[in-house]
Amino acid sequence: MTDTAVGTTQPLFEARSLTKSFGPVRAVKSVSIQSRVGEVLGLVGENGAGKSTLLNMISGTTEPDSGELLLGGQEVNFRTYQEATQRGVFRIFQHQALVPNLSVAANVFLAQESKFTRFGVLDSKRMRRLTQDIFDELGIELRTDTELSTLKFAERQVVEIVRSLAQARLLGIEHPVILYDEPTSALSREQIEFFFGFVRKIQPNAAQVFVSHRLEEIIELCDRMIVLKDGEVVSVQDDPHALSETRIHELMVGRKAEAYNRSHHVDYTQTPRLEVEGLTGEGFADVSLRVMPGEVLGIAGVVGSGKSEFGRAVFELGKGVEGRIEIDGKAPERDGSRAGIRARLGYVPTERHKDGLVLGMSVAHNLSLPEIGAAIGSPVINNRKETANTKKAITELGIRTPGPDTLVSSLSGGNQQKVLLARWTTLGSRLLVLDNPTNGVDVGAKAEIYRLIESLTETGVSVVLISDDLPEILALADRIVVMKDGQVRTTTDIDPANPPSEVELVAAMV
Amino acid sequence: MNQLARPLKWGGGILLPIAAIIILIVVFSLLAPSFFQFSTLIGILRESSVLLVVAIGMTFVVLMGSIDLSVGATVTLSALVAATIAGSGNWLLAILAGLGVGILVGLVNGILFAFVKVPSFLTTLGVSLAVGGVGLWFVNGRPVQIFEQGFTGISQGKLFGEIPLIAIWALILWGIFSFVGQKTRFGRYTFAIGGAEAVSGLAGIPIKRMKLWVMVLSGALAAAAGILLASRVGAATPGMGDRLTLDSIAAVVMGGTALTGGVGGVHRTILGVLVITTLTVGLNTLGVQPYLQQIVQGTVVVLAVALTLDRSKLSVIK
Repeated sequence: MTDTAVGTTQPLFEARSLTKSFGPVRAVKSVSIQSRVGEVLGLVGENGAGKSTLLNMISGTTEPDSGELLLGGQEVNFRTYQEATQRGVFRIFQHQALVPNLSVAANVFLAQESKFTRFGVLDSKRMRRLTQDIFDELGIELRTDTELSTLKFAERQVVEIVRSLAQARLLGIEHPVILYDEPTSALSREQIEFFFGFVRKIQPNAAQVFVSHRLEEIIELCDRMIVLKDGEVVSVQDDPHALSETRIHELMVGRKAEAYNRSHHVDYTQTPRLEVEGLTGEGFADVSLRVMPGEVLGIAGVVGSGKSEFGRAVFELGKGVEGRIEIDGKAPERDGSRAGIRARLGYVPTERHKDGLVLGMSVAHNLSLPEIGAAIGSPVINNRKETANTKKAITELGIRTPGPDTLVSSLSGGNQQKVLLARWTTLGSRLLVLDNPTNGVDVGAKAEIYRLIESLTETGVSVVLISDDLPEILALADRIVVMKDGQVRTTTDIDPANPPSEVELVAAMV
Repeated sequence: MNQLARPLKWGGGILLPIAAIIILIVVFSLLAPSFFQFSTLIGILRESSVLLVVAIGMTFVVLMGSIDLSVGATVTLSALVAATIAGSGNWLLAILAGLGVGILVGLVNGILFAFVKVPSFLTTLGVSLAVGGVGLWFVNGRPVQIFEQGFTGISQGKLFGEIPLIAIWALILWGIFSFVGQKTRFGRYTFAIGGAEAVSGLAGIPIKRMKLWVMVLSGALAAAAGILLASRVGAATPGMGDRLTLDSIAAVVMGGTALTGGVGGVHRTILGVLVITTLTVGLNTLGVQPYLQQIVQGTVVVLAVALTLDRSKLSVIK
């Protein structure tokens, strides 16, 4: 059923009936895929559908229980990732595997230095020249001698891909296989465009497999698409450009997804939950706005617009920041996150692994962290209450975890995100600052998080929704503020009957 | 009993140190039949006490992802100060002065580490040198004998005619701080900071204050250990606590507290302490030369840490 010929070329890479079980869980059940030079193959599926396991098996990091891999028609058997790269199979990770303090060229030929040494001396010039050759061929306007850390994230991503090409070339491999594992999750909109342009440029030379949670990207980029569900291929689409996101979503979950739209009902005559005037700090300047009880205020803006910094400053009650800030009409003690939590503010940071979760702790300990951190309650921890609160949150938010004592790191992204949200529902927070709350979350969990936001606002909770996902902001917000260069550009009231288009928002953002 | 901590903290992590203790006991009993008797057990208890008290404080520091290299010097200084003052006949004042020394050292460590932001290993290494110097200068490099019965009685007394009081004090402290570590806000903060400092800050945990107080606690417990040690020996000598820095770190790690922080606990450190002490007592029973003992102990400590390090990582990843 996977055998749908695009073009007449032989597949460069083929996986036949790959199967992998982890204990009783059958993660991948007899999956076959083919990937051809000149083609970008999209791989979609909810969290847990088996995408990562599949990529792991192809790139040598996980050994399949059964099935075979063929590269250029020959059977191969990679025991490690290094073996896979030796044969021209490369993987581009979400988190880059580059050395920031080395030059671009040095990174491109990282771990291949032995091929550039003469009598123990490294020939950096040749490294730069070979890198420059590839840059010229692909029309990349980056300098080969700049330090990597000075580049933008998307540019670094390009360096990583160039590395795959360069190393393949060094090994005498004409066409590499490049596997992208959610490469865009850390990129802003314009960086994604830049990155996509690059993927298309190398298309004639490589077989590329692209995994993403963002369906619109699959539609835009891929020539063929495979849908995985519960470890099986449920659909192969020859022309993803013709599909809608809703249709792909249906294929992924096996049911129809409703287009989400929050009902709007905000009383603008009340005392605002949050009012800031002339708030100026690092990354933002002279921001004035108000958020009413039960309102969702969306903040849109490109990365670097200051929206995230502003959100964090609000949560920290304007500590170390100029300007007026009022919560429920009163000036709070401006004393950082601890005071913020006590003033019933909540915060979900955009990088949950860096700022949100203690990965070595259990679900229960993570959930109670701000309550204990802000010293609400007695100095002796009430374990029974902690467990009971966690169990309640697990049920209410539908967190899929074996139990409160499970390590939070073993949960999927969506469930980790729900743990972060559950902190504040448990504490009864009245103003939530959510910075990209559905970042790296699958479609199902996304809808659940939207419903949670809606039910919270119905009880009078206010939400500041900072997001790079414009459809998300349009679906949820009562009003939308667009920030640019640290300042508020436009404020738009949403008329549910006649919402603004994404294009209008983007116009204000850039 | 320890309901919350069970799945994460007790799961398999204690098997290795317990196995090490059993193996040591079997080996020493085979080599020296006089090892396997009740008096040896009492001996191990007595010998463990000082190390246990130091290691309790060290556990909190290591849990937070830091290290305190000044505990050995603090033990010595507080012992010297307490012994000197005990000579005047006031044993209560001697205890308070000894503890005061530890708290002061802890404050200096804590302020430099938390507020001046000098990494803890550097701060405490420097402070260790200074504290050692202060001790030598204070007693002119000479040992101090203690004749005050009230002071030596703290450690040398016995309960039920058999059990040394020093072990009772150490076990009481261990009980209290196991509770503090597992059941209180303070303990949870050390786990959280060691696990993820940025996250902890955003969750409202006062990180700088915590770093300060944990260093003070470590200093105070090192001082308590110094007082117990001086009381047991009936004297204080320069350098008498030096070994305890390495031994306490080794005990903490063998007990299953990861050097990277965030995993482990005071309740487990006692196992590491018992491994080290059983080894020392066993070598003494065998009559091994002191110099050779040092070689064996140093080797075993590093080997044991090497063995136990991986395991503590596993309990995070699991």
